[in-house]
Amino acid sequence: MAERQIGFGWRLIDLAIALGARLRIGRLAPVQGYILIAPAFLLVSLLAVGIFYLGWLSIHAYDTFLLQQGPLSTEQFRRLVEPPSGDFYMQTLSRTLVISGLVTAGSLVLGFPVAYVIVRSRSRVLRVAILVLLLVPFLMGEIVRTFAWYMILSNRGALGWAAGLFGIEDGGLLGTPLGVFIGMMQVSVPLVALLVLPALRRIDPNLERAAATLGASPSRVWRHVLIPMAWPGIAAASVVVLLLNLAEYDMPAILGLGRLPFVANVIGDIYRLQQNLYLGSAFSLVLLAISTVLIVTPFVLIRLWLRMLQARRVT
Amino acid sequence: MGPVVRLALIVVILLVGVPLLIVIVASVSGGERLTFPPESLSLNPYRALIGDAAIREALWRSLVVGVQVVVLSLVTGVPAAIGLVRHQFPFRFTIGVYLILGVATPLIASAFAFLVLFTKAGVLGSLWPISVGITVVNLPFLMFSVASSLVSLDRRLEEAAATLGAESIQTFLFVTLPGIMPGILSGTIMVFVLGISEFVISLLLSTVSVQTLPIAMFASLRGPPPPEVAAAAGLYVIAALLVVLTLTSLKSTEQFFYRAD
Repeated sequence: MAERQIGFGWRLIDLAIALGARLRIGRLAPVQGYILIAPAFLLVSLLAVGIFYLGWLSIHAYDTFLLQQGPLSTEQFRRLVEPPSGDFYMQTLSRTLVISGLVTAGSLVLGFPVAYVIVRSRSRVLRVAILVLLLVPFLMGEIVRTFAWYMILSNRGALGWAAGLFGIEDGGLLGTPLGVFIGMMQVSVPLVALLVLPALRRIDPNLERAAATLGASPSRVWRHVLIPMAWPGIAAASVVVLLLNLAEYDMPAILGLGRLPFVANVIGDIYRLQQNLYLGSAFSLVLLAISTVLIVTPFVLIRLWLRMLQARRVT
Repeated sequence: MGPVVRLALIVVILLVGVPLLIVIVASVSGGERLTFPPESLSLNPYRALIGDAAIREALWRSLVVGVQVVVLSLVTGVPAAIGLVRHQFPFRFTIGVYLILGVATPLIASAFAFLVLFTKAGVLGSLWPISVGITVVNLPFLMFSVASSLVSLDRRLEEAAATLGAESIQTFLFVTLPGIMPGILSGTIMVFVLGISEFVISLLLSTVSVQTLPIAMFASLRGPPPPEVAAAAGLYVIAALLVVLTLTSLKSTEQFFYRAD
Protein backbone atom coordinates (compact mmCIF):
# COMPACT_ATOMS: atom_id res chain seq x y z
CA MET A 1 0.00 0.00 0.00
CA ALA A 2 1.18 3.47 -0.79
CA GLU A 3 1.83 6.02 1.90
CA ARG A 4 -1.21 6.79 3.99
CA GLN A 5 -3.16 9.82 2.96
CA ILE A 6 -3.22 12.43 5.67
CA GLY A 7 -6.58 14.17 5.63
CA PHE A 8 -6.81 17.85 4.97
CA GLY A 9 -8.49 18.39 8.34
CA TRP A 10 -5.53 16.92 10.21
CA ARG A 11 -3.13 19.22 8.39
CA LEU A 12 -5.30 22.18 9.39
CA ILE A 13 -5.19 21.10 13.01
CA ASP A 14 -1.42 20.66 12.88
CA LEU A 15 -1.19 24.12 11.40
CA ALA A 16 -3.37 25.52 14.19
CA ILE A 17 -1.21 23.84 16.84
CA ALA A 18 1.97 25.20 15.24
CA LEU A 19 0.43 28.65 15.00
CA GLY A 20 -0.65 28.49 18.61
CA ALA A 21 2.88 27.55 19.68
CA ARG A 22 4.40 30.33 17.57
CA LEU A 23 2.04 32.94 19.03
CA ARG A 24 2.64 31.48 22.51
CA ILE A 25 -1.07 31.12 23.21
CA GLY A 26 -0.15 29.38 26.45
CA ARG A 27 0.54 32.68 28.17
CA LEU A 28 -3.14 33.56 27.70
CA ALA A 29 -4.24 30.60 29.83
CA PRO A 30 -4.90 32.64 33.00
CA VAL A 31 -7.35 34.91 31.17
CA GLN A 32 -8.80 32.21 28.91
CA GLY A 33 -12.13 32.36 30.76
CA TYR A 34 -12.47 36.07 30.05
CA ILE A 35 -11.58 35.59 26.38
CA LEU A 36 -14.30 32.97 25.99
CA ILE A 37 -16.87 35.19 27.69
CA ALA A 38 -15.91 38.37 25.84
CA PRO A 39 -18.06 38.08 22.67
CA ALA A 40 -21.24 37.35 24.63
CA PHE A 41 -20.34 40.04 27.16
CA LEU A 42 -19.95 42.66 24.45
CA LEU A 43 -23.20 41.63 22.77
CA VAL A 44 -25.20 41.83 26.01
CA SER A 45 -23.51 45.14 26.78
CA LEU A 46 -25.40 46.63 23.83
CA LEU A 47 -28.58 46.06 25.84
CA ALA A 48 -26.99 47.42 29.02
CA VAL A 49 -25.85 50.56 27.18
CA GLY A 50 -29.31 50.85 25.64
CA ILE A 51 -30.90 50.69 29.09
CA PHE A 52 -28.55 53.40 30.40
CA TYR A 53 -29.37 55.57 27.40
CA LEU A 54 -33.06 54.93 28.12
CA GLY A 55 -32.50 56.26 31.62
CA TRP A 56 -30.62 59.28 30.28
CA LEU A 57 -33.42 60.20 27.85
CA SER A 58 -36.13 59.71 30.46
CA ILE A 59 -34.73 62.46 32.71
CA HIS A 60 -34.79 65.10 29.99
CA ALA A 61 -37.49 67.46 28.85
CA TYR A 62 -38.55 67.10 25.23
CA ASP A 63 -39.96 69.78 23.02
CA THR A 64 -42.58 67.93 20.97
CA PHE A 65 -42.96 70.92 18.66
CA LEU A 66 -39.32 71.56 17.83
CA LEU A 67 -38.46 67.86 18.30
CA GLN A 68 -35.55 68.90 20.48
CA GLN A 69 -34.11 67.61 23.70
CA GLY A 70 -34.56 70.03 26.58
CA PRO A 71 -32.76 70.36 29.90
CA LEU A 72 -32.71 67.80 32.71
CA SER A 73 -36.17 67.47 34.22
CA THR A 74 -38.72 65.11 35.71
CA GLU A 75 -41.22 66.14 33.03
CA GLN A 76 -41.58 62.66 31.48
CA PHE A 77 -42.32 60.92 34.76
CA ARG A 78 -44.72 63.67 35.79
CA ARG A 79 -46.61 63.21 32.52
CA LEU A 80 -46.91 59.52 33.32
CA VAL A 81 -48.19 60.03 36.84
CA GLU A 82 -49.95 63.38 37.17
CA PRO A 83 -53.46 63.98 35.85
CA PRO A 84 -54.82 64.62 33.33
CA SER A 85 -52.36 62.81 31.03
CA GLY A 86 -51.25 60.50 33.85
CA ASP A 87 -54.74 59.01 34.28
CA PHE A 88 -54.48 57.03 31.07
CA TYR A 89 -50.94 55.79 31.73
CA MET A 90 -51.62 54.78 35.31
CA GLN A 91 -54.85 53.06 34.28
CA THR A 92 -52.87 51.14 31.66
CA LEU A 93 -50.26 50.18 34.24
CA SER A 94 -52.82 48.92 36.73
CA ARG A 95 -54.70 47.01 34.02
CA THR A 96 -51.44 45.36 33.00
CA LEU A 97 -50.60 44.46 36.60
CA VAL A 98 -54.09 43.12 37.41
CA ILE A 99 -54.58 40.99 34.28
CA SER A 100 -50.98 39.70 34.40
CA GLY A 101 -51.39 38.86 38.08
CA LEU A 102 -54.65 37.00 37.42
CA VAL A 103 -53.07 35.09 34.52
CA THR A 104 -50.14 34.15 36.76
CA ALA A 105 -52.47 32.97 39.54
CA GLY A 106 -54.60 31.01 37.09
CA SER A 107 -51.50 29.47 35.57
CA LEU A 108 -50.30 28.30 38.98
CA VAL A 109 -53.67 26.70 39.70
CA LEU A 110 -53.69 24.82 36.38
CA GLY A 111 -49.97 24.32 35.81
CA PHE A 112 -49.04 22.82 39.17
CA PRO A 113 -51.38 19.80 38.87
CA VAL A 114 -50.15 19.18 35.32
CA ALA A 115 -46.54 19.17 36.52
CA TYR A 116 -47.64 16.74 39.24
CA VAL A 117 -49.12 14.40 36.60
CA ILE A 118 -45.88 14.48 34.61
CA VAL A 119 -43.82 13.67 37.68
CA ARG A 120 -46.05 10.95 39.14
CA SER A 121 -47.72 9.33 36.14
CA ARG A 122 -46.59 5.76 35.53
CA SER A 123 -47.42 5.97 31.82
CA ARG A 124 -44.37 7.12 29.85
CA VAL A 125 -46.51 7.85 26.79
CA LEU A 126 -48.72 10.21 28.78
CA ARG A 127 -45.72 11.99 30.31
CA VAL A 128 -43.96 12.53 26.97
CA ALA A 129 -47.19 13.53 25.19
CA ILE A 130 -47.91 16.20 27.80
CA LEU A 131 -44.34 17.51 27.71
CA VAL A 132 -44.45 17.81 23.92
CA LEU A 133 -47.81 19.58 24.07
CA LEU A 134 -46.51 22.01 26.70
CA LEU A 135 -43.46 23.01 24.64
CA VAL A 136 -45.30 23.84 21.41
CA PRO A 137 -47.04 27.10 22.49
CA PHE A 138 -43.69 28.47 23.63
CA LEU A 139 -42.11 27.86 20.22
CA MET A 140 -44.97 28.80 17.89
CA GLY A 141 -44.65 32.50 18.61
CA GLU A 142 -46.81 35.21 20.13
CA ILE A 143 -48.47 36.30 16.90
CA VAL A 144 -49.52 32.78 15.90
CA ARG A 145 -51.01 32.14 19.35
CA THR A 146 -52.90 35.41 19.00
CA PHE A 147 -54.17 34.45 15.55
CA ALA A 148 -55.37 31.09 16.87
CA TRP A 149 -57.31 32.72 19.70
CA TYR A 150 -58.72 35.30 17.34
CA MET A 151 -60.11 32.42 15.26
CA ILE A 152 -61.58 30.90 18.42
CA LEU A 153 -62.94 33.95 20.23
CA SER A 154 -64.29 36.13 17.43
CA ASN A 155 -68.03 36.06 16.91
CA ARG A 156 -67.62 33.91 13.79
CA GLY A 157 -65.05 31.70 15.53
CA ALA A 158 -64.92 28.24 16.99
CA LEU A 159 -66.27 29.22 20.39
CA GLY A 160 -69.34 30.89 18.91
CA TRP A 161 -69.87 27.81 16.73
CA ALA A 162 -69.57 25.46 19.72
CA ALA A 163 -71.93 27.64 21.74
CA GLY A 164 -74.35 27.60 18.81
CA LEU A 165 -74.46 23.80 19.00
CA PHE A 166 -75.91 24.18 22.49
CA GLY A 167 -78.30 26.85 21.30
CA ILE A 168 -76.41 29.71 22.96
CA GLU A 169 -76.07 32.92 21.00
CA ASP A 170 -72.62 34.30 21.71
CA GLY A 171 -71.20 37.63 20.67
CA GLY A 172 -67.63 36.37 21.11
CA LEU A 173 -65.06 37.30 23.69
CA LEU A 174 -63.03 39.74 21.60
CA GLY A 175 -62.54 43.07 23.33
CA THR A 176 -63.16 41.64 26.80
CA PRO A 177 -60.60 41.13 29.59
CA LEU A 178 -61.65 37.46 29.72
CA GLY A 179 -60.62 36.97 26.09
CA VAL A 180 -57.19 38.48 26.74
CA PHE A 181 -56.88 36.39 29.91
CA ILE A 182 -57.64 33.10 28.13
CA GLY A 183 -55.27 33.90 25.29
CA MET A 184 -52.41 34.69 27.66
CA MET A 185 -53.03 31.46 29.61
CA GLN A 186 -52.03 29.34 26.60
CA VAL A 187 -48.34 30.02 27.13
CA SER A 188 -48.37 30.86 30.86
CA VAL A 189 -49.78 27.54 32.04
CA PRO A 190 -47.20 25.39 30.19
CA LEU A 191 -44.43 27.65 31.40
CA VAL A 192 -45.48 27.30 35.05
CA ALA A 193 -45.79 23.53 34.64
CA LEU A 194 -42.30 23.25 33.10
CA LEU A 195 -40.75 25.53 35.72
CA VAL A 196 -42.14 23.74 38.79
CA LEU A 197 -41.20 20.29 37.41
CA PRO A 198 -37.71 20.18 38.95
CA ALA A 199 -39.00 21.22 42.38
CA LEU A 200 -41.81 18.63 42.31
CA ARG A 201 -39.41 15.90 41.22
CA ARG A 202 -37.34 16.35 44.34
CA ILE A 203 -40.31 15.46 46.56
CA ASP A 204 -40.15 11.86 47.72
CA PRO A 205 -43.41 10.08 46.73
CA ASN A 206 -43.17 8.18 50.02
CA LEU A 207 -43.99 11.40 51.86
CA GLU A 208 -47.38 11.55 50.16
CA ARG A 209 -47.97 7.87 50.88
CA ALA A 210 -47.01 8.38 54.51
CA ALA A 211 -49.40 11.33 54.83
CA ALA A 212 -52.19 9.32 53.18
CA THR A 213 -51.52 6.32 55.45
CA LEU A 214 -51.76 8.60 58.44
CA GLY A 215 -55.23 9.58 57.27
CA ALA A 216 -54.67 12.82 55.35
CA SER A 217 -57.19 13.47 52.59
CA PRO A 218 -55.78 14.25 49.11
CA SER A 219 -56.48 17.95 49.59
CA ARG A 220 -54.59 17.92 52.90
CA VAL A 221 -51.66 16.15 51.23
CA TRP A 222 -51.59 18.98 48.72
CA ARG A 223 -51.88 21.72 51.31
CA HIS A 224 -49.48 20.33 53.89
CA VAL A 225 -46.97 18.30 51.86
CA LEU A 226 -46.77 19.10 48.16
CA ILE A 227 -47.27 22.86 48.06
CA PRO A 228 -45.04 23.71 51.06
CA MET A 229 -42.24 21.50 49.74
CA ALA A 230 -42.40 22.88 46.21
CA TRP A 231 -42.78 26.53 47.15
CA PRO A 232 -39.34 27.77 46.03
CA GLY A 233 -40.15 26.34 42.60
CA ILE A 234 -43.60 27.91 42.73
CA ALA A 235 -42.14 31.30 43.64
CA ALA A 236 -39.59 31.14 40.82
CA ALA A 237 -42.23 30.09 38.29
CA SER A 238 -44.58 32.89 39.37
CA VAL A 239 -41.91 35.55 38.96
CA VAL A 240 -40.83 34.35 35.52
CA VAL A 241 -44.38 34.05 34.22
CA LEU A 242 -45.48 37.36 35.72
CA LEU A 243 -42.51 39.09 34.07
CA LEU A 244 -43.39 37.65 30.68
CA ASN A 245 -47.04 38.61 31.09
CA LEU A 246 -46.22 42.20 32.06
CA ALA A 247 -44.60 42.75 28.65
CA GLU A 248 -47.44 41.15 26.66
CA TYR A 249 -48.22 42.96 23.40
CA ASP A 250 -50.17 40.93 20.82
CA MET A 251 -52.97 39.53 22.94
CA PRO A 252 -54.19 42.90 24.30
CA ALA A 253 -53.73 44.55 20.89
CA ILE A 254 -55.63 41.94 18.85
CA LEU A 255 -57.87 40.07 21.30
CA GLY A 256 -58.56 43.28 23.26
CA LEU A 257 -59.41 45.06 19.99
CA GLY A 258 -57.25 47.95 21.17
CA ARG A 259 -59.70 48.74 23.99
CA LEU A 260 -57.55 47.12 26.68
CA PRO A 261 -54.00 48.33 26.02
CA PHE A 262 -51.15 47.00 28.14
CA VAL A 263 -48.03 48.98 28.96
CA ALA A 264 -46.23 47.47 25.96
CA ASN A 265 -48.98 48.63 23.57
CA VAL A 266 -48.89 52.16 24.93
CA ILE A 267 -45.09 52.28 24.71
CA GLY A 268 -45.35 51.12 21.10
CA ASP A 269 -47.94 53.81 20.35
CA ILE A 270 -45.88 56.52 22.03
CA TYR A 271 -43.09 55.65 19.62
CA ARG A 272 -45.08 55.12 16.43
CA LEU A 273 -47.78 57.76 16.79
CA GLN A 274 -46.06 60.48 18.84
CA GLN A 275 -42.45 59.71 17.85
CA ASN A 276 -41.60 60.56 21.45
CA LEU A 277 -38.59 58.49 22.51
CA TYR A 278 -38.34 60.41 25.80
CA LEU A 279 -41.78 59.57 27.17
CA GLY A 280 -41.46 56.02 25.85
CA SER A 281 -38.13 55.66 27.65
CA ALA A 282 -39.68 56.80 30.91
CA PHE A 283 -42.57 54.32 30.66
CA SER A 284 -40.17 51.50 29.71
CA LEU A 285 -38.09 52.38 32.74
CA VAL A 286 -41.15 52.25 35.02
CA LEU A 287 -41.91 48.73 33.80
CA LEU A 288 -38.26 47.75 34.18
CA ALA A 289 -38.22 49.05 37.76
CA ILE A 290 -41.37 47.09 38.66
CA SER A 291 -39.88 43.93 37.15
CA THR A 292 -36.61 44.39 39.02
CA VAL A 293 -38.48 44.69 42.31
CA LEU A 294 -40.45 41.54 41.42
CA ILE A 295 -37.24 39.61 40.67
CA VAL A 296 -35.34 40.78 43.73
CA THR A 297 -38.13 40.48 46.32
CA PRO A 298 -38.36 36.65 46.36
CA PHE A 299 -34.58 36.37 46.86
CA VAL A 300 -34.68 38.76 49.79
CA LEU A 301 -37.68 36.97 51.29
CA ILE A 302 -36.02 33.56 50.95
CA ARG A 303 -32.85 34.88 52.58
CA LEU A 304 -34.86 36.39 55.46
CA TRP A 305 -36.76 33.15 55.84
CA LEU A 306 -33.55 31.10 55.99
CA ARG A 307 -32.10 33.47 58.57
CA MET A 308 -35.26 33.15 60.64
CA LEU A 309 -35.01 29.35 60.53
CA GLN A 310 -31.39 29.53 61.62
CA ALA A 311 -32.23 31.84 64.48
CA ARG A 312 -34.92 29.46 65.63
CA ARG A 313 -32.51 26.54 65.53
CA VAL A 314 -29.99 28.40 67.69
CA THR A 315 -32.44 29.20 70.47
CA MET B 1 -54.84 10.98 40.11
CA GLY B 2 -57.62 12.78 41.93
CA PRO B 3 -60.60 14.26 40.11
CA VAL B 4 -59.33 17.82 40.58
CA VAL B 5 -55.96 16.97 39.04
CA ARG B 6 -57.68 15.17 36.17
CA LEU B 7 -59.93 18.17 35.52
CA ALA B 8 -56.94 20.53 35.49
CA LEU B 9 -55.15 18.24 33.06
CA ILE B 10 -58.12 18.18 30.67
CA VAL B 11 -58.50 21.96 30.79
CA VAL B 12 -54.80 22.44 30.03
CA ILE B 13 -54.83 19.95 27.16
CA LEU B 14 -57.78 21.86 25.66
CA LEU B 15 -56.14 25.24 26.32
CA VAL B 16 -52.96 24.19 24.53
CA GLY B 17 -54.31 21.74 21.98
CA VAL B 18 -57.40 23.51 20.62
CA PRO B 19 -55.49 26.55 19.24
CA LEU B 20 -53.11 24.17 17.43
CA LEU B 21 -56.02 22.36 15.79
CA ILE B 22 -57.74 25.64 14.90
CA VAL B 23 -54.63 26.96 13.15
CA ILE B 24 -54.17 23.75 11.19
CA VAL B 25 -57.85 23.70 10.16
CA ALA B 26 -57.83 27.40 9.25
CA SER B 27 -54.72 26.93 7.11
CA VAL B 28 -56.49 24.39 4.87
CA SER B 29 -59.85 26.10 4.68
CA GLY B 30 -61.55 27.21 1.49
CA GLY B 31 -63.54 30.37 0.94
CA GLU B 32 -62.65 34.03 0.77
CA ARG B 33 -62.91 34.65 4.51
CA LEU B 34 -61.72 32.50 7.36
CA THR B 35 -64.62 31.15 9.37
CA PHE B 36 -65.12 28.26 11.71
CA PRO B 37 -66.08 25.67 10.70
CA PRO B 38 -64.57 26.36 7.25
CA GLU B 39 -66.90 26.30 4.22
CA SER B 40 -64.67 23.76 2.52
CA LEU B 41 -61.19 22.30 2.70
CA SER B 42 -58.51 23.40 0.25
CA LEU B 43 -54.90 24.45 -0.01
CA ASN B 44 -55.94 27.95 -1.08
CA PRO B 45 -54.35 29.74 1.91
CA TYR B 46 -50.96 28.25 1.06
CA ARG B 47 -51.43 29.20 -2.60
CA ALA B 48 -52.33 32.72 -1.48
CA LEU B 49 -49.18 32.79 0.67
CA ILE B 50 -47.00 31.89 -2.31
CA GLY B 51 -48.88 34.35 -4.52
CA ASP B 52 -48.64 37.31 -2.14
CA ALA B 53 -45.28 38.98 -2.79
CA ALA B 54 -45.35 41.09 0.39
CA ILE B 55 -45.94 38.11 2.70
CA ARG B 56 -43.46 35.97 0.77
CA GLU B 57 -40.75 38.59 1.17
CA ALA B 58 -41.58 38.94 4.85
CA LEU B 59 -41.21 35.17 5.23
CA TRP B 60 -37.82 35.31 3.52
CA ARG B 61 -36.70 38.16 5.81
CA SER B 62 -37.76 36.18 8.88
CA LEU B 63 -35.70 33.22 7.69
CA VAL B 64 -32.70 35.50 7.16
CA VAL B 65 -33.16 36.90 10.68
CA GLY B 66 -33.39 33.33 12.00
CA VAL B 67 -30.08 32.38 10.38
CA GLN B 68 -28.36 35.57 11.57
CA VAL B 69 -29.62 34.94 15.10
CA VAL B 70 -28.27 31.38 14.99
CA VAL B 71 -24.83 32.49 13.78
CA LEU B 72 -24.57 35.28 16.37
CA SER B 73 -25.81 33.01 19.17
CA LEU B 74 -23.35 30.23 18.30
CA VAL B 75 -20.37 32.57 18.00
CA THR B 76 -21.09 34.24 21.34
CA GLY B 77 -23.07 31.66 23.32
CA VAL B 78 -21.02 28.49 22.93
CA PRO B 79 -17.69 30.02 24.06
CA ALA B 80 -19.48 31.82 26.88
CA ALA B 81 -21.05 28.59 28.14
CA ILE B 82 -17.67 26.84 28.02
CA GLY B 83 -16.00 29.73 29.82
CA LEU B 84 -18.63 29.81 32.54
CA VAL B 85 -18.67 26.06 33.14
CA ARG B 86 -15.04 25.07 32.62
CA HIS B 87 -13.03 28.04 33.83
CA GLN B 88 -12.54 29.64 37.18
CA PHE B 89 -12.07 33.39 37.32
CA PRO B 90 -13.09 36.29 39.53
CA PHE B 91 -16.67 37.59 39.07
CA ARG B 92 -17.66 34.39 37.24
CA PHE B 93 -21.07 34.29 38.91
CA THR B 94 -21.74 38.00 38.42
CA ILE B 95 -20.84 37.76 34.73
CA GLY B 96 -23.10 34.73 34.38
CA VAL B 97 -26.01 36.72 35.81
CA TYR B 98 -25.14 39.69 33.58
CA LEU B 99 -25.33 37.48 30.48
CA ILE B 100 -28.98 36.62 31.16
CA LEU B 101 -29.91 40.32 31.33
CA GLY B 102 -31.90 39.80 28.13
CA VAL B 103 -34.43 37.44 29.71
CA ALA B 104 -34.63 39.33 33.00
CA THR B 105 -35.58 42.60 31.32
CA PRO B 106 -39.20 42.92 30.16
CA LEU B 107 -39.20 42.40 26.41
CA ILE B 108 -40.73 45.78 25.60
CA ALA B 109 -38.09 47.57 27.72
CA SER B 110 -35.29 45.68 25.92
CA ALA B 111 -36.89 46.53 22.59
CA PHE B 112 -37.11 50.20 23.51
CA ALA B 113 -33.52 50.22 24.78
CA PHE B 114 -32.37 48.84 21.42
CA LEU B 115 -34.63 51.32 19.66
CA VAL B 116 -33.11 54.40 21.31
CA LEU B 117 -29.58 53.02 20.93
CA PHE B 118 -29.94 52.07 17.26
CA THR B 119 -31.80 55.29 16.45
CA LYS B 120 -28.91 57.24 17.95
CA ALA B 121 -26.45 55.13 15.96
CA GLY B 122 -28.56 55.62 12.83
CA VAL B 123 -28.57 51.95 11.83
CA LEU B 124 -32.31 51.26 11.73
CA GLY B 125 -33.75 50.15 8.42
CA SER B 126 -31.77 46.96 7.91
CA LEU B 127 -32.27 43.45 9.24
CA TRP B 128 -29.14 43.00 11.34
CA PRO B 129 -30.15 45.33 14.20
CA ILE B 130 -33.28 43.19 14.58
CA SER B 131 -31.13 40.05 14.64
CA VAL B 132 -28.79 41.54 17.24
CA GLY B 133 -31.71 42.45 19.50
CA ILE B 134 -33.35 39.04 19.18
CA THR B 135 -30.02 37.30 19.85
CA VAL B 136 -29.44 39.20 23.09
CA VAL B 137 -32.86 38.31 24.52
CA ASN B 138 -32.71 34.64 23.48
CA LEU B 139 -29.01 33.93 24.05
CA PRO B 140 -29.61 32.42 27.53
CA PHE B 141 -31.63 29.55 26.02
CA LEU B 142 -28.63 28.45 23.95
CA MET B 143 -26.20 29.02 26.82
CA PHE B 144 -28.29 26.91 29.23
CA SER B 145 -28.59 24.16 26.67
CA VAL B 146 -24.83 24.04 26.03
CA ALA B 147 -23.94 24.48 29.70
CA SER B 148 -26.17 21.61 30.79
CA SER B 149 -24.57 19.21 28.32
CA LEU B 150 -21.11 20.46 29.40
CA VAL B 151 -21.93 19.77 33.03
CA SER B 152 -23.05 16.22 32.26
CA LEU B 153 -20.00 15.53 30.04
CA ASP B 154 -17.48 13.42 31.96
CA ARG B 155 -14.43 15.58 32.59
CA ARG B 156 -12.22 12.53 32.82
CA LEU B 157 -12.65 11.98 29.07
CA GLU B 158 -10.93 15.29 28.38
CA GLU B 159 -8.24 14.55 30.96
CA ALA B 160 -7.65 11.14 29.38
CA ALA B 161 -7.23 12.74 25.96
CA ALA B 162 -4.73 15.21 27.39
CA THR B 163 -2.83 12.38 29.14
CA LEU B 164 -2.63 10.50 25.86
CA GLY B 165 -0.88 13.49 24.33
CA ALA B 166 -3.67 15.43 22.63
CA GLU B 167 -3.11 19.14 22.26
CA SER B 168 -5.86 21.26 23.81
CA ILE B 169 -7.30 22.07 20.38
CA GLN B 170 -7.50 18.35 19.56
CA THR B 171 -9.13 17.59 22.90
CA PHE B 172 -11.67 20.27 22.19
CA LEU B 173 -12.44 19.18 18.62
CA PHE B 174 -12.56 15.42 19.18
CA VAL B 175 -13.75 15.05 22.76
CA THR B 176 -15.49 18.15 24.09
CA LEU B 177 -17.27 19.29 20.94
CA PRO B 178 -18.84 15.91 20.03
CA GLY B 179 -19.82 15.52 23.68
CA ILE B 180 -21.75 18.78 23.82
CA MET B 181 -23.12 18.54 20.27
CA PRO B 182 -26.65 17.55 21.41
CA GLY B 183 -26.75 20.64 23.64
CA ILE B 184 -25.50 22.88 20.84
CA LEU B 185 -28.01 21.43 18.39
CA SER B 186 -31.04 21.75 20.63
CA GLY B 187 -29.98 25.29 21.61
CA THR B 188 -29.52 26.21 17.96
CA ILE B 189 -32.91 24.88 16.97
CA MET B 190 -34.49 26.74 19.83
CA VAL B 191 -32.95 30.15 19.06
CA PHE B 192 -33.78 29.70 15.38
CA VAL B 193 -37.47 29.09 16.02
CA LEU B 194 -37.63 31.85 18.64
CA GLY B 195 -35.89 34.12 16.13
CA ILE B 196 -38.27 33.58 13.23
CA SER B 197 -41.32 34.04 15.47
CA GLU B 198 -40.08 36.93 17.64
CA PHE B 199 -42.45 39.86 17.71
CA VAL B 200 -41.93 42.84 20.02
CA ILE B 201 -38.29 43.59 19.14
CA SER B 202 -39.02 43.21 15.43
CA LEU B 203 -42.00 45.54 15.82
CA LEU B 204 -39.99 48.44 17.24
CA LEU B 205 -36.85 47.92 15.16
CA SER B 206 -38.43 47.24 11.78
CA THR B 207 -39.27 49.95 9.32
CA VAL B 208 -41.88 49.52 6.61
CA SER B 209 -39.26 48.26 4.17
CA VAL B 210 -37.90 45.55 6.48
CA GLN B 211 -41.03 43.98 7.95
CA THR B 212 -40.55 40.43 9.19
CA LEU B 213 -43.31 37.84 8.91
CA PRO B 214 -44.77 38.22 12.43
CA ILE B 215 -45.06 41.98 11.88
CA ALA B 216 -46.75 41.49 8.51
CA MET B 217 -49.17 39.02 10.12
CA PHE B 218 -49.89 41.46 12.93
CA ALA B 219 -50.71 44.21 10.46
CA SER B 220 -53.26 42.04 8.67
CA LEU B 221 -54.86 40.91 11.96
CA ARG B 222 -56.23 44.40 12.53
CA GLY B 223 -59.28 43.36 10.50
CA PRO B 224 -60.75 39.96 9.56
CA PRO B 225 -57.66 37.83 8.84
CA PRO B 226 -56.99 36.96 5.18
CA PRO B 227 -56.30 33.29 4.22
CA GLU B 228 -52.55 33.76 3.67
CA VAL B 229 -52.14 34.68 7.34
CA ALA B 230 -53.67 31.33 8.24
CA ALA B 231 -51.14 29.62 5.98
CA ALA B 232 -48.25 31.48 7.60
CA ALA B 233 -49.59 30.54 11.04
CA GLY B 234 -49.89 26.95 9.84
CA LEU B 235 -46.22 26.98 8.82
CA TYR B 236 -45.22 28.25 12.27
CA VAL B 237 -47.23 25.54 14.02
CA ILE B 238 -45.73 22.84 11.78
CA ALA B 239 -42.24 24.25 12.46
CA ALA B 240 -42.87 24.29 16.21
CA LEU B 241 -44.13 20.69 16.15
CA LEU B 242 -41.14 19.53 14.08
CA VAL B 243 -38.76 21.28 16.45
CA VAL B 244 -40.32 19.73 19.53
CA LEU B 245 -40.15 16.29 17.93
CA THR B 246 -36.50 16.88 16.96
CA LEU B 247 -35.63 18.00 20.47
CA THR B 248 -37.33 14.87 21.72
CA SER B 249 -35.21 12.65 19.53
CA LEU B 250 -31.98 14.48 20.38
CA LYS B 251 -32.33 13.71 24.05
CA SER B 252 -35.09 11.86 25.73
CA THR B 253 -37.78 14.49 26.28
CA GLU B 254 -37.69 14.07 29.99
CA GLN B 255 -33.95 14.58 30.08
CA PHE B 256 -34.52 17.81 28.23
CA PHE B 257 -36.24 19.23 31.29
CA TYR B 258 -34.48 17.52 34.15
CA ARG B 259 -31.61 15.13 34.38
CA ALA B 260 -32.88 11.57 34.74
CA ASP B 261 -31.63 9.82 37.82
